[in-house]
Amino acid sequence: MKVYDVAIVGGGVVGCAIAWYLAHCSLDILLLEKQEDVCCGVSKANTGILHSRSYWTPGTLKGEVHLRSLSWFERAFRELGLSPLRCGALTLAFSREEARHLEVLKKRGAIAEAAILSPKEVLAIEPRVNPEIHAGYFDPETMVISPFALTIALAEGAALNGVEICCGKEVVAAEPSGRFLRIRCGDGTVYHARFLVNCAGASAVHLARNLGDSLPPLSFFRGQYFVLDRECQGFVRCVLYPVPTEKSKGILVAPTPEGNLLLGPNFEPTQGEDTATTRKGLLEVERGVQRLVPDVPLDRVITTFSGVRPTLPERDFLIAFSPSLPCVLHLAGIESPGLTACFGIAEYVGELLARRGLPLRERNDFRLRVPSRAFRECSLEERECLIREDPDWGKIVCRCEEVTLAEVKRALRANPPARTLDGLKRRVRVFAGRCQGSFCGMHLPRILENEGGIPVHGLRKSGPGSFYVLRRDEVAAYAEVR
Amino acid sequence: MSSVGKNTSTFSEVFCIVCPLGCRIGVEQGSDGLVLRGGCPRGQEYARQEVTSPCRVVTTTIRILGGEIPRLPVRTSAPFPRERIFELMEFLRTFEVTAPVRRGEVLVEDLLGTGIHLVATRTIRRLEKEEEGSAGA
Amino acid sequence: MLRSVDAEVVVIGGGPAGMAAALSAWEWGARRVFLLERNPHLGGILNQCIHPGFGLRLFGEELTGPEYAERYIEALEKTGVEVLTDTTVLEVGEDRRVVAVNREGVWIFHARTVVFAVGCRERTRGMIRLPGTRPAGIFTAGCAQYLVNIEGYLPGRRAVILGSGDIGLIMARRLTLEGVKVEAVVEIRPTLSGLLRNYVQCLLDFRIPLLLSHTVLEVLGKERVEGVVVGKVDEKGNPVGEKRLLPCDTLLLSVGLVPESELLKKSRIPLCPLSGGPFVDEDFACDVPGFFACGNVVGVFDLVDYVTESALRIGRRIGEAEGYTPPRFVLSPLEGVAALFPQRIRRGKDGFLYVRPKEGLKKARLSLIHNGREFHSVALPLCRPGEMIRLDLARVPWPEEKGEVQVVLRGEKHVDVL
Repeated sequence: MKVYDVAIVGGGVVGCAIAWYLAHCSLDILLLEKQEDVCCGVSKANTGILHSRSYWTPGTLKGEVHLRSLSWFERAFRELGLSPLRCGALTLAFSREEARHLEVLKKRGAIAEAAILSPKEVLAIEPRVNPEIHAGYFDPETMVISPFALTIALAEGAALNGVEICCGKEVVAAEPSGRFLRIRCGDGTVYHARFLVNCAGASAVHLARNLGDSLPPLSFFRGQYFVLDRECQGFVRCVLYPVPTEKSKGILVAPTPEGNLLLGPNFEPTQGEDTATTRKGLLEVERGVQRLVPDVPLDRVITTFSGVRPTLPERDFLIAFSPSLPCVLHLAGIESPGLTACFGIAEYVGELLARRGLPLRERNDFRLRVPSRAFRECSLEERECLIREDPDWGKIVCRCEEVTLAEVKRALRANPPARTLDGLKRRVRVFAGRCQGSFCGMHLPRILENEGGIPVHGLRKSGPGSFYVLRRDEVAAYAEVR
Repeated sequence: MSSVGKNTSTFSEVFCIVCPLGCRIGVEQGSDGLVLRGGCPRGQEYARQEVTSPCRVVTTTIRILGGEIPRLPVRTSAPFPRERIFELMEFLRTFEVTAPVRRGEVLVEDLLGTGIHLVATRTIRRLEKEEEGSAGA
Repeated sequence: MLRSVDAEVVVIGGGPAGMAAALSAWEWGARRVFLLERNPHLGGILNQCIHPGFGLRLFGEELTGPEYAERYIEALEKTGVEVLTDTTVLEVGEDRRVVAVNREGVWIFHARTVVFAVGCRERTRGMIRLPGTRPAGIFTAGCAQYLVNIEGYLPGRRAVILGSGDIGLIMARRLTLEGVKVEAVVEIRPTLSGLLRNYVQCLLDFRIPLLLSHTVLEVLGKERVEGVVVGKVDEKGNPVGEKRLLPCDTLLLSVGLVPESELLKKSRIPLCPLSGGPFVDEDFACDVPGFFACGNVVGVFDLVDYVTESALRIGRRIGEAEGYTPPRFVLSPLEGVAALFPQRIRRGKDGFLYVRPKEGLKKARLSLIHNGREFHSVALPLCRPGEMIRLDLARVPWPEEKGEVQVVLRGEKHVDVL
């Protein structure tokens, strides 16, 4: 009977960061994810901003882990092979009162190269900004990363170093069994581990209840987004923030490392994990961004999406041991800056577990993740070399994002592998371009069947029931239709 | 299945699709045969056919084995009786051919006893290598 | 070592437009002609258009898409045009350097003439901002057509189609024949977008309801589409009145086509804001010397016969090597015109003008106005947005003086009552 040192429940950015962090030590780590892939929950839908020190909230746990995480960045990006977009941010004030808040940001950040700028200076950096601003706070340390690129890199880095990642496993119960915990999943599988870390995101409180603990209830707030065509790259250089309110950081304009522009999110209460977009919500985002950038090219929208923020009443993170099960650690209410703080959270969790007896012996054979190359980013000579090694680099599968067959095959064989169309999208960008899959979607079913061993009837977009196409014999006979 | 518009036991209205004008032709059952109102001679001929025995050229795809691609587009050699189209589709569901097939080749003669044939509309060559085969879909 | 190839003509796109352009380049004397096609076979969109309706003007027969395409594939085989399939063009420089990639490696063509025949792409859900969840089961109609006709898959069991353009109507029939239940075709305008004959043969034949002045307001369903909310809209597209839930597991979007202009943008070929494709003259030459464009990248043609005839003009122009002269007339639509091409007239002695009406009109008049004076008009008993007007340029009494020409289409409003 295998006993893991730690079972992490939840394959979002927090769970994967904890897995990756703990993988630096000689431990047996298990990651259990309810859905069919990592990064399928809250982590997949947010702005992807790595907030700088200017935006940390003092006197809170989320503030503490945010700061810790910042000092991890350089090491983590190197070990994970990630290159976030170092674009900086401009917070725009439209009144003297708002401008006073910029002083707070500056003081809080204490960043040497940050500065409060006059409207003229702001427009010199960002000519598209609304000229009616009073002032702007420029912070060079804010970065943007694709939230799924980060989460998947963490998962791959963890798996590379021995973490066992099991998807499609929903933890429904955990009870003490001798010196360990006996963890039971919905499909009947049972695991044993010394510690369990509950970072199940939107389901964290629900899981805690199943484990016999009563955490404060989660309230969900939805945020809707527009994604603009890569042709808009360069329209703005930095992340543009309005002055934040108590509710949220506001409706932003953010360039992404892939070259798109993200507009959003708004902030509205929602039921559970309802991530539908609405006419009203999208209009709110439109108005919000037009305030910052009056002529934002809204005719270049390629898609919309929305995410949820699972929040606790105090709007702070909860990271604490279960009162009833000493080896169970709960994390809940991980909203912004959860993505930014993921390394800090992992470190904090490590410390808590160490205090309860988890031995953290750093290993000397920790493997670094080598980033996967994208054909799109290669020079012509590099492309020629790649094609010579493997002709599949010469077969373009996604014309919008210039993704080749070789990259698709690689994603199918990664660890953890892409098993669904969304999994592929998050790893290699098929379906993410301006045609939103109307080209690659034609060819992928056949490719996945031949190259990925995924038969057509098993090909899904995401979760169970999300079949993509049907084989002919799966459609009702004509008699019924007639 | 009726064509369009007002349709009583003695009167039908047909949208003519012979030319882009799209005239509406009235067809009435008179004492000695059909009475047609509107349209030109070609249109009236079409309308007459529409109310007595509407026919449509059917185009679809069938399974092809061992070819470069898994489906062969086909057509009926002449307009097919509309009320038997689903019967035809049912038959074609299980019908399959083997590559190579040439465009224009007659695949089935006298479909369902109508005297109308099934004709291939694309040339599909036999696939060379076994491993890259299309098993048909 | 990258493959460097000197070419007289590089044609990008092996559909009907590209094949005709390559053929005519060869016929008019060009001998280093390359035709680059990203799919494994030539034929372009015709391969998946298995229904009849092609070639009536050029051949006097109603052919299916593949039959029409094969005629040109066979004609090309008789020439020395070098066809590269499974080859994707990544960029085209202003100096006519064409960078392409296939399984053999990277190719750099140094072309004297480049022809864009890259077709168009479908408008997506994101572009129409359709709110709701994001489940599996939403396809653009062309993508679904490919999956059904080329791969043999079916998109679902129960479908709603948004858009009554021809592709939506054709798919309504296709899906029904394959056993998929098509609940309705939903059209935001008060009139049918596609051809009347398709309405008869695709909707009426199968009793599929056509909901005019309606649109899909919301998508429902967690993992897969479970239904769509449809409702009536006013002329501005705002919802009015009752909404209805149509249960379905598939939504097909037939909401418009836009020219595939990405390569042109990168090569800085001037684009016409109305069509989204490049400005062209009657030989389908672009505003920049050495570049031509034909087929749906210029603007959406309703008949492939017109695509072929317009692409065939390119060879002569290349062959005669006329070089670049400024056009005599620049055409602009003033009223009643949804699209027109060519927008530049160089000679006015040959070739055709294609005009798409904005709305249905009867007793209409197409007028050409120069210096405030109507110098030519054509009476049209009936015109519809789904059917292009084609004017023989040789029959137009072009004025002596060069300049701007306004194109006006006026008449009495006509709506087909269906």
